[in-house]
Amino acid sequence: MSAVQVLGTLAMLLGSFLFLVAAVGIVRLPDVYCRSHALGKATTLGIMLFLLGYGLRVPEASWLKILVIVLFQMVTVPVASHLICLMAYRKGIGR
Amino acid sequence: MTLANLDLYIVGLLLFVTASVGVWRIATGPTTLDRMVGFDSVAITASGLVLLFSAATSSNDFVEFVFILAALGFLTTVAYFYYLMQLSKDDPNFDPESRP
Repeated sequence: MSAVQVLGTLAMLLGSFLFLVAAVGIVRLPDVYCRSHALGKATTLGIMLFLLGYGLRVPEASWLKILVIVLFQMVTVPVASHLICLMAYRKGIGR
Repeated sequence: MTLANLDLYIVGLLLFVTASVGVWRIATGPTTLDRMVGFDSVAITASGLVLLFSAATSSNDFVEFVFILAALGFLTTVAYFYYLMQLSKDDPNFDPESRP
């Protein structure tokens, strides 16, 4: 296993640790706003680290596709989290 | 289970924990929006599992699946948001906490 693949493995382990942080947040936090906050922030960085680790581990990976997917996830995951919080606020779900 | 790819087993275990927590949140969420949070967790974990499978088999054929899964999760959230907006427009006393 080369040094680049070790770096990719470290990136994937760090990304899965961020997924675990999101899971702890979903279980332990008290209401919709906090849960959506934990999920949106942790999984955005987690899936970016996953894509980086995939690109470093697989030698013939296309970095253009990885860049497009990273940009798409950076736009859509926080917007979905924000939509959930906006609907909770409009419905008057209190903290 | 060989020790050479033990790291990928650890990654898969943590992803399994996240997906299980999402399913548990879908089952026992007090409001409908909690269930949407759980569904988002499961959808993002599914794209992570596709990436894990690609890295484990060193294949290059499944990266488009990640894009498709991300788009499906986002469009589901937007569609449900639109549905709840339409419901609230019809019924001003609509309360998502009272829905099963």
